[in-house]
Amino acid sequence: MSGRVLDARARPRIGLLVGAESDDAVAVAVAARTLTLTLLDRLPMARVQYLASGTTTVAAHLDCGRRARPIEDLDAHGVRRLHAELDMVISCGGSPSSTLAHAKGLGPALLTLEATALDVAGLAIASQPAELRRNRLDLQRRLGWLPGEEAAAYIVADADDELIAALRGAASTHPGSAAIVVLALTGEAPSPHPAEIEAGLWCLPRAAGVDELVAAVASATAYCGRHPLIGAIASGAGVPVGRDMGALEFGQSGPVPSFGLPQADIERALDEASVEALGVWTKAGRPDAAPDSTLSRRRGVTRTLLQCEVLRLEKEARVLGGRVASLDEELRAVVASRSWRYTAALRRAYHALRPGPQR
Amino acid sequence: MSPPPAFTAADVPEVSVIMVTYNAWEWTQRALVALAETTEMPYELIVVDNASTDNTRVHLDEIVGARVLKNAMNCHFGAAANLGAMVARAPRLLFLNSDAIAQPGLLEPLREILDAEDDVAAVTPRLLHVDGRLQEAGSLLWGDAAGDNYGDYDDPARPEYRFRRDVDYASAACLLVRRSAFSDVGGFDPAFHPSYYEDTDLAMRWRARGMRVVYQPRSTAVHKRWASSGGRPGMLDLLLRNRARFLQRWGHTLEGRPPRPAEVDPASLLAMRDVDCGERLLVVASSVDHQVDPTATVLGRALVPPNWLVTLLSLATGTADASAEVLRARGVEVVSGTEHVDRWLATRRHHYTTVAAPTSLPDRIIHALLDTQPTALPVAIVDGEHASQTDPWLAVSVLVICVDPEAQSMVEQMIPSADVVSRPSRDLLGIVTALNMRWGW
Repeated sequence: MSGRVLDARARPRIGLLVGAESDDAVAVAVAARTLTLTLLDRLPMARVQYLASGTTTVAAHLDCGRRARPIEDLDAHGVRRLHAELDMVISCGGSPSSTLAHAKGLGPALLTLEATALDVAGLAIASQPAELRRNRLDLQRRLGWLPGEEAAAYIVADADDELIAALRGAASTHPGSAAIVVLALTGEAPSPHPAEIEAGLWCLPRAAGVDELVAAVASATAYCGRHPLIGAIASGAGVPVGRDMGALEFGQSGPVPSFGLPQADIERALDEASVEALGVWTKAGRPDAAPDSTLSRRRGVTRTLLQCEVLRLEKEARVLGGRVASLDEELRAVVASRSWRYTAALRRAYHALRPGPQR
Repeated sequence: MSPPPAFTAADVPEVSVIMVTYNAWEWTQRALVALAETTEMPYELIVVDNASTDNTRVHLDEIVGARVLKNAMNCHFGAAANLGAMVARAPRLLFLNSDAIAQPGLLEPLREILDAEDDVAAVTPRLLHVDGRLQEAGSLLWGDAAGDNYGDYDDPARPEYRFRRDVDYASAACLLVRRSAFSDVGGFDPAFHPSYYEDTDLAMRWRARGMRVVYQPRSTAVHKRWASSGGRPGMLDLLLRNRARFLQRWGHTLEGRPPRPAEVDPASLLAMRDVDCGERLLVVASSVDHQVDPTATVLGRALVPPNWLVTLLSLATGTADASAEVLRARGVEVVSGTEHVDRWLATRRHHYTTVAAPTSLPDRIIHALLDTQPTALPVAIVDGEHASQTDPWLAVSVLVICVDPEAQSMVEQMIPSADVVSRPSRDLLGIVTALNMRWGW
């Protein structure tokens, strides 16, 4: 995603209410993460928190550290607190909660995104910063979840045994250059057996989080399967998508089907939401503005450099002082010596003949 | 050998404790026992074993109530810790080395800071060596990417290690981390695999996002250095390789910081500790207790802002511990005792930007202040009763703060050349900020 920073220091508080009417926890998690990264791309210091309405909550291992905050059935104090702690709420994939609807005109600004969690998932790869993706891919390769970069990875989800067997056969004809990666989206998937890895079959276990999932799909040569979420993520970034073995014709790129995702509309809406959140936060007198650490750092660094220079000069002065004292002592010894006294008349005569500085 | 302790995984854990193991079961067991005995808040334990070759795996299987992940190969610390974070359920992560022994009351003070300040990404406790000496009070980063554990092998009771402050980075041997902050920057970067600089890089990525790492001296852990990683061959090569990699990535941020000198003396360490502190305020008081000396009250009740250093130098020999601890928890460095004040000030030559002191100070203290801090802004704090035109500190001060607002006009007439403001309309930090803005410092 291109850098679209609106304000690098602003810290608006944004609540995300995603998939209130969805029961697909993984899709909700991907959408929430996608919106978070998209917002952080515009407002890097924004404080984003997840809100939960109804019974749907983001699965714990997929929530990327933002445990959803329940907003239904709050008492008056809870509602007031919620309103006070948020500048903006973005609701996506369902109608906003009654708690927020009642807050109209009183609480935080409210934006309802007319998009489903799957629509937002189409932005998942684009929203993931390149550095984060590199990091996650590297990690998964070290954990033995993904093949090395040299192998073309074909992602598979919702595959039955028959398809897996076919894939295993196809991959074994391209040892080392092609690998099948099975996504375990539900259930406890075991780690891949070394023999399976040798056969070109890899497995992304259920423990993998959203960032790992998105990075794996982004790095794939093609995706094969019927899982709508993975299809949305892949097609959103132009990764070839197919529903059967046809998509895995090694060496051939399949067509990229259009899901008709209103990605540009979502981006535009998030631009507007970011501007509005920034406006609300600014009107509140820029509370909690991050201090300009660069200015402070510059002064601190200058001061430290000067301190180090002072220390160095003090040490140097001590050394020079020691040398001066030693030379003084030597000079005193010379002047006090018998030869110096005996030759004084000669030196006077010499300097009288040759004008110059007296010694 | 006694069996491993039993844990009870909380339904809604407040903290996910992540421990990476690789052999050295004796230390792992000690760490687990200490964790079980000292932790009161609801937590879950995630142990990631990096293919231990001794009996560690057998013992890990016996642990009740922990989630144990077994890697097929040694992925080393960064990748294993990332895996632990991936499956964690709590909003906070405690990375705890298998050779780090939690001391009673470890978690609560760490959590206090993390919950109170949402721009804090991680909080580090005071790490002690097994023999009780200090191992790390946060870490310092020099311009050439060399790192120093602040206070290593020193006395942990020294005042410079007893107040909370922002640090450049902290060892991940025991570190409480905001999980969302960890996820947003991608966790430990595998680019630094297998080890060294992964924690330093993490701190720098937080810094780039405006987030901080804070040292909390009220929490303590004992850390047996190298027990969990062992003495790997080629450690130095690895260190130098990752240092070069780190410098390539963050060199621009460290630009201007001096490189680590061949011999690091206390003054250089101090200068580096406070390198980010643009404002450095020294407050001299006859006592830490504000009921004895009103000077301490001018510090106000707010936390010391980031990028500030505030030192309270109490001239009383005995410290009012309760008052001192309150100040330290707010980020004020509290130093006490008159005996060695001159020597102490000499170790901080040119260190402060502002010196605030009461009137009626002994002459030798005034001379030491003026001699060691000649570039600092002198500020006098008067209570009205003891204001005297001939007071030498009052005479040199460019700002006078009246603790008693009613005495303001009297002091204004007495010292016409100084700015006079009164407490409690504003605290000292606010006054200094306002002054800086006015004078364009």
